[in-house]
Amino acid sequence: MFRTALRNVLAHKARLLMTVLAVMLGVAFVSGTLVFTDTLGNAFRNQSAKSYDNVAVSVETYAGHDEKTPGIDDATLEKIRGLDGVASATGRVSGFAGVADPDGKLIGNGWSNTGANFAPGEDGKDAQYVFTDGSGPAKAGSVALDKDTAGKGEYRVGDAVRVATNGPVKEYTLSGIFTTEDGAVNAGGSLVLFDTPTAQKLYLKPGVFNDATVTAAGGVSDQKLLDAITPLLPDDAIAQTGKALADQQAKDIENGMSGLNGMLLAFAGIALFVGVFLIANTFTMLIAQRTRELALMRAIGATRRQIKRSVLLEAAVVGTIASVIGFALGLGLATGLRSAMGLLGGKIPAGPLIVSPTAVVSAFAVGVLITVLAAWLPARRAAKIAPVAAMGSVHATASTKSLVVRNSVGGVIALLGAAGIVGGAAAGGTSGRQLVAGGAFFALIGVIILIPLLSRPVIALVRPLLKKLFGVSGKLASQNAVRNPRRTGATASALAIGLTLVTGISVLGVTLGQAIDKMTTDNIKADYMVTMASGDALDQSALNALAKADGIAALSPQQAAWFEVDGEYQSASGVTPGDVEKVFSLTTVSGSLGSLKDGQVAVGSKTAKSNGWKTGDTLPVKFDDEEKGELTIGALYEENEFLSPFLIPKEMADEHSASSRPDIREIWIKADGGATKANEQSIVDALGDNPAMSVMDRQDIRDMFGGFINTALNIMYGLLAIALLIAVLGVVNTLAMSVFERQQEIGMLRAIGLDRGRVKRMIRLEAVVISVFGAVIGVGLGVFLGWAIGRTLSADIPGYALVIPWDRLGIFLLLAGLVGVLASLWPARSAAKLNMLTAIKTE
Amino acid sequence: MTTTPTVHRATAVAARATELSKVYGEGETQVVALDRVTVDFPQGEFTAIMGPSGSGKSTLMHCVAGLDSFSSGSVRIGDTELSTLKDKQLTQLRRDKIGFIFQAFNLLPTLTALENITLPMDIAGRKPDAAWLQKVIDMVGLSDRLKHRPTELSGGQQQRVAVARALASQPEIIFGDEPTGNLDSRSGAEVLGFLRNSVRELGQTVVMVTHDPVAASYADRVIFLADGAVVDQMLHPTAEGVLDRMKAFDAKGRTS
Repeated sequence: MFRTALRNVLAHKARLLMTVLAVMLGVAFVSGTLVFTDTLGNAFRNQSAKSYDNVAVSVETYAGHDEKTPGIDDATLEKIRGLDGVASATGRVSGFAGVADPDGKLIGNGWSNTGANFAPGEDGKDAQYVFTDGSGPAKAGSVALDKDTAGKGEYRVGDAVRVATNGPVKEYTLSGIFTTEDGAVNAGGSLVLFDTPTAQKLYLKPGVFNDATVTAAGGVSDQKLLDAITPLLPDDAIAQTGKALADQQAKDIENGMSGLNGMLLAFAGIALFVGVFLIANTFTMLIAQRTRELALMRAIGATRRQIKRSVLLEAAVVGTIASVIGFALGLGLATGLRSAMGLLGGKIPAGPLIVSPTAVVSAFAVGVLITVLAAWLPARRAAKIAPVAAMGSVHATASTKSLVVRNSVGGVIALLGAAGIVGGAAAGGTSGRQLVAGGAFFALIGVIILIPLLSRPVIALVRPLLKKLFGVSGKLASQNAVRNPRRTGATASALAIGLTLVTGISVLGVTLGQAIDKMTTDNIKADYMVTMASGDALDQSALNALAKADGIAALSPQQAAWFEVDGEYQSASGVTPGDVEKVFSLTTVSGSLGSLKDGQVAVGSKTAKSNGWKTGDTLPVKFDDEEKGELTIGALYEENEFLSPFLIPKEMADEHSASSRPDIREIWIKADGGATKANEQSIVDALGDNPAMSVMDRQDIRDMFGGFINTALNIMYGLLAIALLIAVLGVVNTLAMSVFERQQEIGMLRAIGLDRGRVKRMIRLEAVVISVFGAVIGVGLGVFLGWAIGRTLSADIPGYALVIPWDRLGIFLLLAGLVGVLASLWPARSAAKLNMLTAIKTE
Repeated sequence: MTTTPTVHRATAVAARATELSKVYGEGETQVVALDRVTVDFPQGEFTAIMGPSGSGKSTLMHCVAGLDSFSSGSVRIGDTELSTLKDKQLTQLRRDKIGFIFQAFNLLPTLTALENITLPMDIAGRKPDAAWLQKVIDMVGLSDRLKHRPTELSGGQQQRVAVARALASQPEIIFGDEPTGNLDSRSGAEVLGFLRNSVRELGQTVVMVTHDPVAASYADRVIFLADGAVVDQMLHPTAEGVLDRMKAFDAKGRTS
């Protein structure tokens, strides 16, 4: 039986080509993902292990500016140094530090810009950093830069470098350039080293560190040192051995990777699922062609089981071959992804390509299993062929079994699914979303089952148009497209699945984007917003500088503050009285926002309502600095997305802050004459041309909140492209089959006068009809899903309104048509080249 | 019958092959399918081409009908010389001037009988002549079957649709390639009767390849081919006469 299967595979090489391609792509996706994430994870693990190689004990604190978290002072460090078995104890202090390139732009992207202290030991060296040029910063006013950052800014030792921390930007002299095993730096972040007193002054306060690393003298176990050190540390300090830290980081990396892994594998799964239709089509067709051959085998004594097994074996052989090629391709993909990420600026530590046994086994299991599973139904059908079919005269046509059972089952499943979707949409919230997801699954399955039924009426709808536009080719194409509804259905399904997802996320993405856009325009009057690129708080000096700048009509910070009301923590926004209503759209429900000037508080109307507060009430509060007081409600306002539900004057926020630094999240500016180049320049100048601060106009703000949606959409489109590619292979496959089956017919048409061009056009149109049909189904279902999921989110999103991106949907349909044209290139060519004489000769 | 006869008559010629040769392969493996065949198909005549398997009878028909290319010589349909035509022009010629009836796979399963009949006009983008179409349909007796699809028709009915299709566009000449090969004798007789009637009553020109002496007896003239050359012809053939002639060739083939 194995030999027969193998012979059959070899005999139908060409017809199995698309199947092999589809499985191959799916397997490549799976194995590429696994190898890539394994490799990445391994590289990062090695990296973190290396960076903690020498560290016996690492101590971390969350030292801030207040008394609750004191950090590690010099005295504590001295005590640690005095312990037996301690070779060295180094204090570390770090925070944000952005480096400007010669054009004044920030190098790196905000959250990955770090500054730290250079802590030389007695030999004048800091073991963490290896200087390739110059030396560590020994005095105030000099800094050292990591090699990549220095390279990007084209800085050399001795150059002046502008460095921004959370305070004003300052100029330093570059004393040296170093390399380090620090994971953040190796992942593409920038690192600025200051001398210790400068770093302490910038980030904490003189004589205090956040973190400490301890190295051991020979012979003392890390654990023993840890036990000795722990009693010396303040309460909030977390101390662990270097190994434990490395392990923990490795675990964090693993977790991060598994998320990425899961997402990529989900898309690989979709691609493989789409491939199933193509594979099933191919085997159905191969078996239809071999009916007589199989019947002959039955007639001479092969059992049904043997027939079925031989078909499945054939599928297994195909699956294995495709998996081998796919796996090789996956390795290439993993390598390519790594370099692609490198090119995009995400630096990945070097390391070998890790091909784990799991990756190999799962890639092959997936490839072979999918193929065998997809061939299951055709194999069963093959087993059912009666031996008498061998005596039949003409080769048997594919069974045109009634679709009644299929349609009933499909109808029920689709209805259930639709009910789930509608019900979920009505219910809303997380449970509603789950219901929608479940419903979507059933609806998709139902529609896939129903597609053959749908194909006839839907395609009949466009027949007059095709006939009018393309004459006889159009008429024949539209009829050919529904000739084998099952096959057309399976082909269209593959496209429909991909497009359902693409459309669903598009509708959702565009709707959310629009809602965010609306939220921005509805809530903001300001022309500019200033923030730290690092996401840290802005310094008070920035606000002071802006207050003196030209062209500023109104200016208010949004300063985070907290207080307890009736034992409940409430967040408040410290704002500038009088200016706040000029930079935000605030609708006063009662009272007056002017009362902020008098030290009163304004409360969001919903919050007030749920607590039963009204204007004039006094609230007993306990501030962040433990001080107790009473606040009078001077106004109620409609909640604003950019502000907390309590507004207090900035002075009050300053006065009662537990920290020595005000927590200014953003500064909002209304400029005289609106957003103009001059106004923007004036703001940038006032801020001292600080590369670490971003000045955003309204479009930038919209992009900041909505931009990630576009990015996410583009990534999803990219990932779904592989599923669509497989769907295209399916269209190629189906058309190639159709052309093969209709050779005689095409020959006859050529003989009675249909020219090559129109034969080609007929095939092309058939492909376009099938593709666009699949796309229409997918787009329809996708819009429905997008609507439903959107509904469940609508409660959480103010100003939610469904937006159907007609332009995108139009593009999808156009692309589907184009896909049809492309997919039919080869089948149409072979149809046109068909030899009429062999075609019209009977067997 | 000592020399190879060339056939010439005074009436107008619908199709003519002159010194027509078709050679497959080269050198050692060369096979001559047609060897300088010269033959006329006069207008309004029903010609049958007969000959044993491999005699070149189908090749001759394919070359004259513009379905196949030839190595040398000339073929004319009416005034058109085929040897100089490109594929596109040949296709157009077949569409406008030639009707075809094949042994099988004559009809498109997706089209109704009527749509199949008008298909050549559809392809040409012409409106069929309604009166003529009705006449043809009446002649082949398909009036009540026009809405049926080929799968709902018997083999004989299908072939009648094919005859109607060939006639409907009023071509200059109709070629049949074993048009009765797949039919039982009664249906075959019907189809051949229609073909003969179309010649007698409508003045159509028909050329048919067959290996069946009874089918050949419906023709006005039978041309016999052997080894790629015309070896004989018979006017007003009868089934017995044709059979005898064929037997004679067979005997000659065996003795020589």
